[in-house]
Amino acid sequence: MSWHWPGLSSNYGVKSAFGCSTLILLVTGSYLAVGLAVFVVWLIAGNDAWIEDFFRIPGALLLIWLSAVSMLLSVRVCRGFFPGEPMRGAWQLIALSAGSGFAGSVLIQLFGTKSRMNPLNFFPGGAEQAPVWRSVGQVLNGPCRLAMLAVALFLVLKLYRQSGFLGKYAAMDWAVLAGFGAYVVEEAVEVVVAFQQGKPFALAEALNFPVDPLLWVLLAEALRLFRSVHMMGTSWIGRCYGAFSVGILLILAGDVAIWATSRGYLPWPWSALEWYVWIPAAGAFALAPSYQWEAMRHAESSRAADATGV
Amino acid sequence: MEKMVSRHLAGCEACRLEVRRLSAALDTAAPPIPADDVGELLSSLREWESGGSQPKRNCEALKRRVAGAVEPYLGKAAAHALLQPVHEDGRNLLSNVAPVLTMFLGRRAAGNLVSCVVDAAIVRF
Repeated sequence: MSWHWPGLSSNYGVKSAFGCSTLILLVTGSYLAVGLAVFVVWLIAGNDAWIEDFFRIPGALLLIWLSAVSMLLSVRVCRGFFPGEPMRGAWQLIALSAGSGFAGSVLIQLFGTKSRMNPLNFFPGGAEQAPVWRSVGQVLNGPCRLAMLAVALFLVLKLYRQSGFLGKYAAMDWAVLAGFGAYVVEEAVEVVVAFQQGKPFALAEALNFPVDPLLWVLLAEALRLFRSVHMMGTSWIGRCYGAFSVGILLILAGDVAIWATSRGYLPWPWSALEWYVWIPAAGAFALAPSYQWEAMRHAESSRAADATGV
Repeated sequence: MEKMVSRHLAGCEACRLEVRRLSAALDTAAPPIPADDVGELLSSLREWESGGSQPKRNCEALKRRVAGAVEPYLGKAAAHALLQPVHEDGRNLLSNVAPVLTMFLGRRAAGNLVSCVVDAAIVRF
């Protein structure tokens, strides 16, 4: 008696047809390749317009597109779980976090800049409102988005523990957590000292204070997820949560690069490389739900594929 | 009421599947099974029974096949860890694998995958 099902054949691996994840990887990779070429041309020619236009228009559009993809796919994944299923709660929060990120990206990249794309330019005095929209976008894309993601990943880690596949921190992880923890404490002390010396803080600035502590929590979760994924082996589910880990690590790298630039550790023009971190970070956050969605779709269609002998 | 149910069924794949299953189970006018198919089924059953003297070998083969189905979703090490405590007669195979698949993929996706594993790796093997 013969049977054929790709999921059961020995040479079957973690491969999917040309889907969302492939498209996201291609678009992000192509943009980065062109971006590095623009960076080199800018260094040689010394004309700031090259790099400014590159980030102001194509960069802004790509960030908005990636955050929209992340939100739409997260909603689809969320709807793939029935109400009451433990993973549904986590994906509801991931979808809300992605929605907050999308709204923030639109406000920062579209309404909050001096770009020709800004719709506020068409209204009298509209361009003067750009900084306000930018601040609102930063709060949505910063503390709001990160707080929801932190709770979502905590729920995911709880499920990893229930399944018996929760990984353990390595010595290196503890060192990274201690190092970034010291950075967060130093930043907090600076804020307290400045406050005591009477420095006024704007509301938007104060609302962004929790970003660094939230990033530390997310780093702890990302490292635990990374160890758990490594323990389980390469898979769609592993790629999904691995992509979240990579996205968080890239945001941290960008955050530290901003700090290093402000302290003069990263001199101009190399500090401009920090701008490139946000694109792959957004790409990783779009890839994560994409892998989960592809896994669910593949599993759902496995019966039909079996019946047709695909 | 019927209209509401029909409208829901038009948009809900899970419920359509349930209705198809229920209809198939209740369908008393099902056509008779062709004699060739019965013969093939009986010969497969005989083959399966004759292999019963080597339960351990069969169980290992079964585990390998189920592992092949689960690995793309959960990973090789996870599949191995889930299948390691399975009894020689394979009786706790699904109870070990299905909950973890359901946890990570959801009831709908995991349900289809588990049905397929049962069908291809256990029933037809």
